Amino acid sequence: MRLSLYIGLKWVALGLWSIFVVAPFLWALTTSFKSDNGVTQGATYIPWLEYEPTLEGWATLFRDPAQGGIEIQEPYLASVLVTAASTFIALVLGTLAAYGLSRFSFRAGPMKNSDISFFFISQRVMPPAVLAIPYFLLLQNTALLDTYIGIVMVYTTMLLPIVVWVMVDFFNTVPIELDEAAMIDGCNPMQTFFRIVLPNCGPGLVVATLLCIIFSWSEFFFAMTLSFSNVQLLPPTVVILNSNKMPWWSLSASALASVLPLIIVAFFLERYLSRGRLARAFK
Amino acid sequence: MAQITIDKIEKRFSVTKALSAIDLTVRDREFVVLVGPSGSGKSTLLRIIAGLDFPSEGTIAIDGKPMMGVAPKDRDVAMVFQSHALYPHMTVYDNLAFNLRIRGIAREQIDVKVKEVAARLEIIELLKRRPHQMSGGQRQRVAIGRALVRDPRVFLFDEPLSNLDAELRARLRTEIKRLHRELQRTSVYVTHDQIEAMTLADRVVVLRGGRIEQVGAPDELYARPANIFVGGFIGSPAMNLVPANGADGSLALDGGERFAASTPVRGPLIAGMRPEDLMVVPVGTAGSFHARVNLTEPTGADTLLLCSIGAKLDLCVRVSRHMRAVEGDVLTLRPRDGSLHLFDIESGQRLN
Ligand SMILES: Nc1ncnc2c1ncn2[C@@H]1O[C@H](COP(=O)(O)OP(=O)(O)OP(=O)(O)O)[C@@H](O)[C@H]1O
Ligand SMILES: [Mg+2]
Repeated sequence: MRLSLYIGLKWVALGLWSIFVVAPFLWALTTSFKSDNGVTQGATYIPWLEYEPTLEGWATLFRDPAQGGIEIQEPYLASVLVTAASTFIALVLGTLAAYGLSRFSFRAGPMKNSDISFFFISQRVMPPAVLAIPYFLLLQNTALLDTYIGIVMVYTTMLLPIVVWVMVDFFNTVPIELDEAAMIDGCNPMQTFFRIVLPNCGPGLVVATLLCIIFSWSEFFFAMTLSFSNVQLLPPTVVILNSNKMPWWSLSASALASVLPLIIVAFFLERYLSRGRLARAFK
Repeated sequence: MAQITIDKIEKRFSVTKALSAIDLTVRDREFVVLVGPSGSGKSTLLRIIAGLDFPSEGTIAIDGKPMMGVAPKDRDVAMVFQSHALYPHMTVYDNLAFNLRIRGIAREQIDVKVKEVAARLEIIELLKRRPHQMSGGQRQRVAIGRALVRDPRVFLFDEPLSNLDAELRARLRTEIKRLHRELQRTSVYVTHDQIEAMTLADRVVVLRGGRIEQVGAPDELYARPANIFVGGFIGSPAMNLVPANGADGSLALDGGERFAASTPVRGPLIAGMRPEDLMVVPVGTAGSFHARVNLTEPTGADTLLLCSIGAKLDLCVRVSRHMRAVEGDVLTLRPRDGSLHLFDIESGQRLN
């Protein structure tokens, strides 16, 4: 009796939470298929029954701005490029740094390994607003303001702590005896890293990649302040659309289009993560 | 050919001194076992030989070639770890083949070698498995196989059997011994287990607190321990170490018993008597003393009698299971001729 009550409560709680999470999404999804009539009739959710679906909202994404389309394709590509580049660089640098922190003892003044790791992650504690002006001046003085190189550099700095933090944790789960066995087996440090340690940290790489993509794809503050005309990224573009007199359906379609990559990434990576390889690996 | 020369090695970890003044030569084809209590520096010494750690002082050489600055991969040593340290993401086959691949051996040769070793260790049917799909004993077998495929100059073992149950440990112990007989490779083997030490070793090195207490063949260590520590450490059940007083031609044990024995010194000393060296003899036999049985522990072939002399002293006596003794019996005991070990009470060094 008490058990069924507990299960019931659990479902109620989960249900409420799902509504909270899914409702805005659903709202955007239905709106993106509506036209003038559909939107002004209030909240309707069931296509064909409650409103007549149209593809007009989505079509505007692909139409030339001169013919009533919206300017989203270029920022989209720019965001893909910046996200891919900064994620890749952050993964390479951060993974190597994390391996070093996990396997060797360092001393920087009074700081030891754990302090250095903490120093890395502490970079994320600062709100971006604090960094925006220094970054602005830095990029301006090096003529990197509003360039891909500049923004990728800033993004990489932003992502590095995450990668280091995640990967140090994963590397620490790989017993040091594996490195030692590899070295005795004839590996140099690089071979040890790439052939023995890294392959056992696949899930860590997946987590780090996922976080990097999420953070850099949806980053708004630096995109807004450090790039304006030459480089236009997606998040500020969508927000600016919002303030223009843009029809709701186009807006909804562009918003959904901008989260689409994250959904795809999450879907694939989640499947990989849930295979539970990690737990079995080091028995 | 592989002779390991360890010369005045010292190892410090910030404050702790893990090894001091280690001098040891492991001869070609010799099987040397390092034993000692936990923290005595066995693994550290092994890791220094492997090149995974570096001595703070002193040098080590293999075949006369100094190993200073030589990476583990260039030392031509193979090591079996206590935790097996198999690569979890590889099959058994790949685990065995990995070190040959890294060294650029041709694929066909690798295949031949891996199959040969797998056959020898009876792990052919496991070749396609991953480490997590095997039992502890199978994993340890593969770990040994990984060392074997290399055909290295030196084998290093760090407690390879300590995670296994007793029966499996005994089986693999025999197998390691057989492998050494066949392959005749210089080996250094670390263990806690005295039976492993006694059965495998050509020579045993007893370590305590980072120092070598004694080096010798197993029976030598057993028959003539150089000091109290080795006497108490080697042998199970442990040697009885009894405070005593030496006088002309006799020994007075703490607890009031006195018996005739030849002793090189007068005054306080420690008398060591192995449980199996104490014989039960008729009352009145020359050189005998009395002890009261407190507890009997049958172990199968033998029975252990835990006795006391006077109020406090505990004495373990090993007798055949045919001897019937019950609690409260008073036994007349005499140490077997030449089996008495006498140690200095201050330094702990052997006196006779
Ligand atoms: N990396 C290290 N840093 C600091 N101290 C260490 C390190 N490795 C070993 N020690 C210390 O050196 C001493 C010897 O350690 P070692 O591992 O060689 O002992 P051992 O004889 O192998 O013990 P066990 O039987 O428990 O494996 C110990 O006091 C240990 O605490
Ligand atoms: Mg050890």
